Amino acid sequence: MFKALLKREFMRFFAGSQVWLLCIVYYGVLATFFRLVVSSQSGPQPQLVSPLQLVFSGGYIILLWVLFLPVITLKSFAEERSAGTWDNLCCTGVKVESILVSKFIVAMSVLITMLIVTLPIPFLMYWGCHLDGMAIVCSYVGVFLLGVHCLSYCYLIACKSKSMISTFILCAIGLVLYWALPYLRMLLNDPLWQIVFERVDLSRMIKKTSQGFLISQDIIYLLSGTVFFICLSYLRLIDFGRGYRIVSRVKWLLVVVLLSLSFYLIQFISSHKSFVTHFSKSTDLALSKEYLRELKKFPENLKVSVLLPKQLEIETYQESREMILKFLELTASYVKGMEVEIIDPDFELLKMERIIRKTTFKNSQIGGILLELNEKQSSIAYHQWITLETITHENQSIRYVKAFHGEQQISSAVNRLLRKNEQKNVCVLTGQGELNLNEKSRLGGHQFALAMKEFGLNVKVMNPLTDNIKITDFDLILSIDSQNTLPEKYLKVIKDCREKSIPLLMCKGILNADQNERWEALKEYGLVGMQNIIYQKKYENTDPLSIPIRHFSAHPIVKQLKGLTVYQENSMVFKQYSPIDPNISVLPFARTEKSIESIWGESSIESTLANKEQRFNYGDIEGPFVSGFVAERRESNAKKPLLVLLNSRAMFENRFIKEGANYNLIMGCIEYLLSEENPNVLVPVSPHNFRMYIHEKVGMKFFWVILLSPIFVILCLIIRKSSKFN
Amino acid sequence: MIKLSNVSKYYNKNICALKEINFSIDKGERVAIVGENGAGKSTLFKLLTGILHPSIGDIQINNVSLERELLSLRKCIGYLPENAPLLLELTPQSYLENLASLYGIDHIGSTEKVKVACQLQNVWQRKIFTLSKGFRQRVALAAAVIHDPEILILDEPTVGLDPLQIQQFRQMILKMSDNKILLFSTHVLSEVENICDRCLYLESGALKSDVKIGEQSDFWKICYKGTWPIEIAIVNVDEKSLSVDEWQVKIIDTKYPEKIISKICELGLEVRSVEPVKGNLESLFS
Repeated sequence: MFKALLKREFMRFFAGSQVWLLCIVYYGVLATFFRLVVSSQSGPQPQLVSPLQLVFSGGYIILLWVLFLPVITLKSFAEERSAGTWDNLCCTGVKVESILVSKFIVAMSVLITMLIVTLPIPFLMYWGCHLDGMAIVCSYVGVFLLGVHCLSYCYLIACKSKSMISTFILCAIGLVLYWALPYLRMLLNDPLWQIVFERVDLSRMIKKTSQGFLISQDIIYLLSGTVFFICLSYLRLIDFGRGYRIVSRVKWLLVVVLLSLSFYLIQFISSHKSFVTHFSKSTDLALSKEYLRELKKFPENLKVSVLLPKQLEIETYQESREMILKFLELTASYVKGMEVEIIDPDFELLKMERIIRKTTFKNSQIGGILLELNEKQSSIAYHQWITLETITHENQSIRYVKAFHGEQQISSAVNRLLRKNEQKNVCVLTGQGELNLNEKSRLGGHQFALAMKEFGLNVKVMNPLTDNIKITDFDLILSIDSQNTLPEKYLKVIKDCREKSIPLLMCKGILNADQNERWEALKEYGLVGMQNIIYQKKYENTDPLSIPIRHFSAHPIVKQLKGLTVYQENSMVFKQYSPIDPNISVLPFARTEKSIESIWGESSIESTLANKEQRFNYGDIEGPFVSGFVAERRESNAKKPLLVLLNSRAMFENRFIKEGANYNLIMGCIEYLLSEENPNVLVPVSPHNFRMYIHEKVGMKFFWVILLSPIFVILCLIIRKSSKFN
Repeated sequence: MIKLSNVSKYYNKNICALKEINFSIDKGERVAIVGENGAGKSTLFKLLTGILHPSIGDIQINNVSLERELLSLRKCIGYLPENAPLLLELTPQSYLENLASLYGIDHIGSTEKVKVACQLQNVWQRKIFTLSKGFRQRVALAAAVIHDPEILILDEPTVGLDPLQIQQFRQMILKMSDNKILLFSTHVLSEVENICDRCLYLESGALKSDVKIGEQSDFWKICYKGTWPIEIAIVNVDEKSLSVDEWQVKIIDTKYPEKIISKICELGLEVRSVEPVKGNLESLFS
C-alpha cells in the first residue's frame, strides 16, 4: 500500500509539467549563476575563491528555499486539499503517517531532481579547474540536507493550509524568520541560548556547505530537526478534523517534550568527541584527497610547529584561525604521534587567547607548515596553500632578509649573495623620489639599507643627483622603486653599470606604479623584466642578477649554495619553467591548467619572446603557466635541503596593526622554528592547482548550452501538450 | 448498517454545522440527503467517511464505532466528493489502478470491471484534464466503487451534467448500488424520487424530516396570523413563518382539519387560508 502511495505521489509530482517547469526555471537561474562564476573566475588573475562557494552560497540558496520549497510544499498539501483529492486519499484507509512520509519522500526526490539538473555545472567546473570531487559531493549532500530540513519546516507550517497562496506566503515568511532566528542572540546573552542560536544558524550552515564542509553537529541537527518537524506535522495532521479534543493538548505536550529531547540529543551527541571526529574525518578532510595522500608520507611522532602568518581583517580573523586549527587537529589525528605547535604572530597583539594554543616541545623534532589562507576563505584555495609549504632547515641558522611588499624579491636576490659568504658591497641608489617628493620612496632606500646591514652587507645609500658614485666599488647596484622618468644623472649610473658589467638590480615597487607605468619604464630603459624585478638586459647571460628568476639557480654563484631556496612569486606568471642545472629540481605550485586557449596576458607577464617590446593582450599566450614555484637543489651527497621561506606580503599587512609592528613577532616565530636542533625534514609536497580555469569564451559556450537546453525542453513540452489536445 | 447517535459537529467551537443528528440506514437502502446549501450535507458525508470527526455523538457502521475502527471501516465506504476531485495529470487507467493498489485489491480485475460499468473505454488512456465533465464524473464514480464498497456515498454527483448525462449517470448509480447502502445528496428532487427509497431533509444542520419516498402523507396547509396555540397538541405540525405576522402550519395525519380550524378561531387567531396539499417531496420544502 505504501508503494502505491509513493507511486501516486510520484505521478502527482512528475506526471504534470509543473515540477519540470520548476526544474527548468531553477536550471536557468543556475546557468545565470554559472555565467557569473565563469566571468569572475576566468580573468587573467585566477581568483582564489572556490567556484562551489559562488554556486552554492548566498542568494542562490535563498532563492532555492524561499521560492522553490514553498512551491513543493503547496504541491504536497494545499493543492490536494483545494482540489479535494485529499479527501479521496483519506477515504482509501491509508494511515496519515504513511501519507505524510510518502509525500515527504517524493518532495525529497523533487529536491534531488532539482539538484541533479545542476550537476552539469560542477562537472564543467571539474573539467575546468580540478575541483575535488569530495568537496562537490559534500556540498551537494549539505545542500540536500539543508533543503530537506527546511522542507520539513515548511510542511509543519503549511500542512493544514488549503490555500495555495497562503501556503506560499506562510512558508516564505517562515523560512525568512527561521533564517533570522540567530539574530536573536543579540538580545539574549544567556550562554545556553547562544549555543542554541549557533546551532540553528542556517546562514552559517550554508556558508560551510558552500565551502564543501559538512560538520557532524550540523548533520545531526539537520536530521534530528527534520524528524522533529515531521513529527509535529503528523500531530497537526491527525488533529485535522477532530476539532478541539484531547489530541490538541497531547500535541502541545509532545511538542515540548520532543523539543527538549531533540536539543538535549543534539548537545549530547555534539559533545561526544569520538563520534564527531569520525564524522569530521569523513567530511572535512575528504575535501583534500591529495592532502590525505601526502599525510601518509609523514613520519610518525612528528612534532610540527606551525606559523599562522595570515592576518586577515578583523571580521574574518577569528573564523579563519578556527578553520586552521580545526584543520591541524584533524591533520594530527591522521598521523600517528604527530603533535602540532601553533604559533600565532598576532597572539600578543590581538590577544586571541581562545583560539591560540601554544606549547613548547622539548627535545622534539621540528618542522613547520606555513599556512596561508586567501581572503575569500575558499576551502579549495585553502588546501592548495596548506599543502604547498613545508619548512625545514639544517644545522645552520638562516637569516631572514627583511622584506616588505614587493621588495621581497630583493630579499631573495640578496639572500643569494649572502650565501656565498663573501662580503658584498651594495650601493642603494636613492634620490629619485625627490623628484616628486615622495617621502616613502625617499626613505625606502635608507630603510632597506639598514635592513641589509643586519645581514652583513656593506651597504651604501647614495643619491646619484648629489653624490659622485664610483660604481666599480660595488658588487651590486640596487635601484629601488625606480620612477618612470629618471633624471640624467641617474640614467648615467645605469648606463655605466651596463658598460662596466656591474650587476644592476632595479626593483620596482608594486605600490608605486601601475602596470602601464611599469611597462613604459621597461621600454624606456630597454630592460626586460618581470613584474617587480627589472634586470638589465646586457647581463642576461653573465650575471646572476640579470637572469630571470627562473634561470637564476643555474648561475655559478647559486650553484655554490648549499641547500634549498624557496621562491614564492605568486604575483608573477611564467610561460614555462625549465631549470638549467640538473641538480636543481623545481616544484611548481600554482600551475594553471593546460588549455588550447590562454587566459593570461596583459602587461603582468614577462616577455620571453623575440620582440621584447611586444605588449601582450588578453589571450595572446597559451597556457599552462606556472604562477609560482619551489626550487630545490639536490646534490648526490647533500644533506637535507635548506629551505628559506618566505613570502608573503600579507604577513606584514594588517591595517589594524601599526605598520610593521607585527614584523618582529613574525620574525621571532620564524627564528624559533629554525633554531631547533635536528629538525625533521619534510619534503615539500607537490601542490595542486584548484584554481578555476575556464576561458571566458568557453564559459560563454557552456552558458548557452546550459541555458538553451531547458528552453529546448520547454519547447518539446509545449509541442507534446499541443499534440495531446489535438 | 449506518447508525448516527446524537451526532453534532462544531467548527471553531461555536459554529454548529450539524446538530444532534439521529438516524440509521439499513443495508440495501438508498437514501437521499436533501437540504439547502449550507444545510450540512457535505459535513454529514465527511463525518460518515471519517474525514471529519463528530464533536459530539457517535457514528456506527455495522455496529462498530467509526472512530474506533476508522481505517478498516473506511474500506467499506465508497465516497464521491462534490465536484469529483481527481488527479488531472493522470489517465483514468493509471488513476484507478493506483487507487486499487491503495485499497490493496487486484488492480487489473477491479479496474476492468469499473471501466465497463462506468463506460470509460473510450477515454481510458487519455489524461483526465482533457476529459469532459461527464467523463470526469464517471471516473470519480469509478473511483468510488472500485473496491466494491458496502456503502456508497455520493455528494451531488449529477451537478453540472447535461440531461442525457444525468440519465446515464443515474442508471449507473442504480446499477452499482444494488444491495448496498446508497447515500447521496442532491438538489434535484425528481432524482431523489427516481433513485431513492428514503429522503432525509436537513435544515440548518438539523434533521428536519425523514420520509420514505412514495409514502409521504397528504396534509393541510393553514395560514394564520398570530402565535400557534399550545393548546392544540398535534404531533406532526411544522410551523413556518411566512412574514412578520403571518405563519403557516402543516397538519399531517388529519383528514379533516375543521376541528383544528374552529379551535384556532376560538382562540382568536385569524385564519387566512386553508388548503389541502398532496404529499410528495416537493412538499417538504413548501
